[in-house]
Amino acid sequence: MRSLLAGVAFVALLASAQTARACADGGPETGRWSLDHGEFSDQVGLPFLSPGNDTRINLQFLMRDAHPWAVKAPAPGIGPASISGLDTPALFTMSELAAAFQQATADRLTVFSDDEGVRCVSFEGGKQAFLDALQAESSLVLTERTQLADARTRLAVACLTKDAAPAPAATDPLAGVSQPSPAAKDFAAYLTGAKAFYDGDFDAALARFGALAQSNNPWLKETARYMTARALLNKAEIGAFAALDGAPEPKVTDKAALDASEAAFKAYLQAYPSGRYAASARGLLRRVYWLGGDKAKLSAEYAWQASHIGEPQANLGATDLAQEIDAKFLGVKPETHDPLQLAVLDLQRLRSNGKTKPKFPAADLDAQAADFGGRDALYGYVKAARAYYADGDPEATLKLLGPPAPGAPYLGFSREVLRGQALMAEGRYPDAIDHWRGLLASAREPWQHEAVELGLAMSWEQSGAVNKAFLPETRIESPRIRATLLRWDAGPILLRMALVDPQATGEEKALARFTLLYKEATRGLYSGFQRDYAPSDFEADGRIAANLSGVNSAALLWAGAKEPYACPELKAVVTELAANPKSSHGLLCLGEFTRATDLDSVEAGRPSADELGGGKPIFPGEVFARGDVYKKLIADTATPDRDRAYALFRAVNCYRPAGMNTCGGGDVEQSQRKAWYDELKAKYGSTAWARSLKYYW
Amino acid sequence: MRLPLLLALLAGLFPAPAWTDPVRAADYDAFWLWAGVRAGPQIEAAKIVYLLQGEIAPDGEGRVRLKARGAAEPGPHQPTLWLVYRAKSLDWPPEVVAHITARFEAWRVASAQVAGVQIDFDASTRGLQSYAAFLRALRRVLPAGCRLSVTGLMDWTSRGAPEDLDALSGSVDEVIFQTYRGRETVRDIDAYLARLGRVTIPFRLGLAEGALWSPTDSLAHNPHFKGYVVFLRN
Repeated sequence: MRSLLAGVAFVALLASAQTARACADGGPETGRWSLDHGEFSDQVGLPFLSPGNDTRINLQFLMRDAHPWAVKAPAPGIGPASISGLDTPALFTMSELAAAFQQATADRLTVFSDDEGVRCVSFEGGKQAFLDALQAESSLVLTERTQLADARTRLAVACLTKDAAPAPAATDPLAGVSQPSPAAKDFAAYLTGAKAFYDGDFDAALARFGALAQSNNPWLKETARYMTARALLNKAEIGAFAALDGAPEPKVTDKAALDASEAAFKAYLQAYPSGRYAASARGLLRRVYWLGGDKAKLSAEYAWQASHIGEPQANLGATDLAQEIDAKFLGVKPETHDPLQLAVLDLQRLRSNGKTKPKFPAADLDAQAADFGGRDALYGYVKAARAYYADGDPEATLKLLGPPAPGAPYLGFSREVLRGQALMAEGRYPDAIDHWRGLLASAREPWQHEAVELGLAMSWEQSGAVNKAFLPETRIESPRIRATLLRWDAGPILLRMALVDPQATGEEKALARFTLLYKEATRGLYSGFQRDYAPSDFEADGRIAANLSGVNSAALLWAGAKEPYACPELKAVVTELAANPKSSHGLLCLGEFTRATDLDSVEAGRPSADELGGGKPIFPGEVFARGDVYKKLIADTATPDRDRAYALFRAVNCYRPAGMNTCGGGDVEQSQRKAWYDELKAKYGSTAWARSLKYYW
Repeated sequence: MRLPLLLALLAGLFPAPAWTDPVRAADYDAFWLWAGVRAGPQIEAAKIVYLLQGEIAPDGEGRVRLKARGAAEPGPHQPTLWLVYRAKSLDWPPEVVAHITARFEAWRVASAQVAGVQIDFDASTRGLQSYAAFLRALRRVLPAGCRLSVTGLMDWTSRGAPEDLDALSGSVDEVIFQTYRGRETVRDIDAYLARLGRVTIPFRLGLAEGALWSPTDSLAHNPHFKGYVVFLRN
C-alpha cells in the first residue's frame, strides 16, 4: 500500500520537477570553461572583452586601456597554482579582479568609505588638515593656536556621536583670549561652520563659509569655498532619499540649491584647478549631475573619470568607478555617445539568453558610426564581435577583424582572442593552434596567459592532440587546464606520464593516479590496474587531494565488506575479474565498491562538447554504472540465484528514496521496478535482502 | 553532478507537499531590502522591513571599513524597520559601532518604529562560539531599546552543537535562518527544517523571492517560529 501511495505522489512530483528544471535551464550558465561566454556569466569573467562578462568587468578593461595604472601585485600570468578549486568556473571572479586591479597608491585611511549620504567621511581627515593649517598660520599666538586645536579635537557633531539630536553647542574656542587676532576669529568661524555642516544645519554652515571666502588665510579661503559647494549639495539632498528603497532614485526638491552647488564646485575648480579638494570637488560634480538627472553631463564626467584612473583629479579606483557607473548610469536607461560606454552597452546587447541568438542587426551598430568616430579599433572590434555573437558568422568576423595589428592591452588582446575563437568556430584547428601559440607571448594582463592556453588546449582537444598539453616542448602551464584534461580526456598513457612528470605537483599526481586506477578497475583494464596499483601512495595522495573534486584516493584502499553482500578488498575484486571478466560476484563487488565509497557519480557532470574536457575521451571503455551491472545480471539466466537475488535487491534500491536513479545507467519505468520487487519477493523471498525490502520506489 | 533541485528536495519526504510555488512577495509582509533592489511604493504596506544600511569589510589592505549601503535616509515610514549591516569581518574598529549607534538613533528620531539592528554575517558552524561572544559584546554597547537580530545559516541547526545555539540566545532577540543559497532554496531544506525544533530563540525563516517554497506544517506548532522574511529581488 505504501509503495503505491509513494508511486502516485511521485508522478505528481515528477511534473513539478520538470517545471523546476525548465526554470533552472533558463537561468544564466556561469563561467563555463570556454572562450565563448555568450550568456551572462554573473560574478565570473574572462580576461578580454566578452558579452558574458559583467558590464563592470568590461568597463574596467577599457579603463585600463585608456589610462593604465600601476597595480599592486605583479599580474599573474595563469590561474591559481592549486587545482583544488577545479570546479571553480573560468577564469576569475569579480573580487579576484578587484584585488588584481587594486591601485598601488594608498587609500584614504578613514574607517568610513563614501557612498550614499555619509558626509561624515571627511570629519577625521578634516581635523588633521585644520590642525596643520593652524600650525602654518604664523599670525596666531600660542594660546589661540592651542585653544583652537583643542576645540577642533573635542568637536562633537551629530553625524558621529550617539546623539541623534544636534550635538551640544561648542564652547567658544577663543574664550579667555582678550583680543583675538583676525586669523583666530576666522578659524573660530570656520569651526562653527564645520560643526553646523556636520550637524546638518546647512544654512548656518553656508553663512559662515560664505563669509570666509575672502579670508586672508589661504587654507581657510580655499576650504570655505569647497565647503560652501558641499553644504549646498547636502542641502539639495534633503528629502531626496525619503522613499524606502534599495536602489537610490533621488527626488530633489531644492533645485536652486543643486544648481548653486554645481556653480560653486565649478567656481572652486576654476580658482583651484589643482587644489587640495580638486579630486573631491570634481567627484562630487558627478553626484550633482546624478541628483539632477543630467545624463549628458553625467556620461561626459564618467568618460573623463574612466580615462584618468590614478590621476590626481580622479577620485575613484577602477573597481569602485565601474561599480558606480553601472549602478548609477549604465543600469538606468543610459543615454550616451561615449565610445567606451557604448562599447560596453553593445557587448551587453550581444548576450544570448541561452536559447536564441541576440538580436542586434548590423544596421543598429552602423548607426553608431559618428559616436565611434576616431575610435576605429574599438568600433571595428565591436563590429566583429557582433558578427560572431549575434550572426554566428565566423567568416565575417575574421574579415571584419582585418590583419593583426598591435593594440591596447585589452582591446588588442580581445581582437586576437576573437580571431582565435572564429578560427575554431570554422574548424580551422591547425590555424587556431598557430594563432594561439603566437599569442602566448603578448598575453600579459592577469589571466590572459591562461585564456590563451584555454584556446590552445581546446584546439588540441578538438583536433585529437590532447597529448601536446603534456609534452615538454608544448606543455600547458595552467594546472587547472591540465587537470581538466587529465580528468576527462586522458588515456592510460598520458595519466602514467603525469605520474612520473617531474614538473607535476602532488595534487596533479594524485588526480592522475586516482583517475587511472578507477577507470582501469571499472572499465575492464584489469591487468593495467594490477600493474599500476601502488597502495603506498594512496595515503599521501588522500592528504594532498583531500579537497580535489573527482578524486577519492582513500577509496582505492577499500577493504571489502561482509554485509549485506560479502566482498574482498578492491585489489582482490580486480584479480577475480581479471581471471573471469564475467564473474557475477566480481561485478557485484565492483558495484559494492562504488556504492560504499560514494563514487557512483564520480564521472558524472562531464563538460559539454563545447567546453574544455568535452572532447572525445581517449581512455578506452565506457563509464561504469552499477545500474547496468544489475540489469545485465538480472537478464542473464546463467547468473547464480544468490547473485541474481542481490542484483534485484540493489536494482530496486537504486530508486530509493525518491524514485530517482542513483546507480547510473539508463532509468527504468516504475513498472519495471515493481516487476523487480515482485520477482525478488516471489522467487527469493527467503533471502535476508527480500525480507528487508518493504517498498519499491 | 547537478541533481534536479526538486527531486533532491524530496528525498525521504512523503507524503510530500507541492514544492512548486515560487515565493511571491505579495503573499508575505516582511522583507529584506538590499542595495540595488528597486522596491517601489508598495513596500510601505509591509509590516517589517529589514533595510540594508552598510557593509563592514576589510579593504584591499586588510583595514576593516564601513561602507554605507542602501538609498533611504532616515524619515517617517509605516513598516517597523530593522537596520541591517552586512559584515564580512568581525574585527570592528570602535568607530563602526559608534556609527551604527548614531544611525540607529537618527532613524529612531525620524521614525518611531525602529526595532533595532541586524547583523548579517556568515558565521561558520565552528565559529558560532566566537560569533556569540562578539554578539554579547555588541549587545552591551548598543543603546537601550535597540534590539539585536542576526541572520543564520541553516546548517547551524544541524551541525552546530545545541550549546552553541544557546550561546546566542542570551544576546540576540531573533535569528533569521536563510533557507536559500543564491537564488534557490537549499537542497536539503527538509532535513534542516526538521531540526528547527532544537532552536530555543525566536526565529524567522528567510525566503528568496522567486525561489521554490512550500509552507511546512511543523512550524505552525513551534512556539519560537515568528514568521517569514522575503529577500526581495529585481
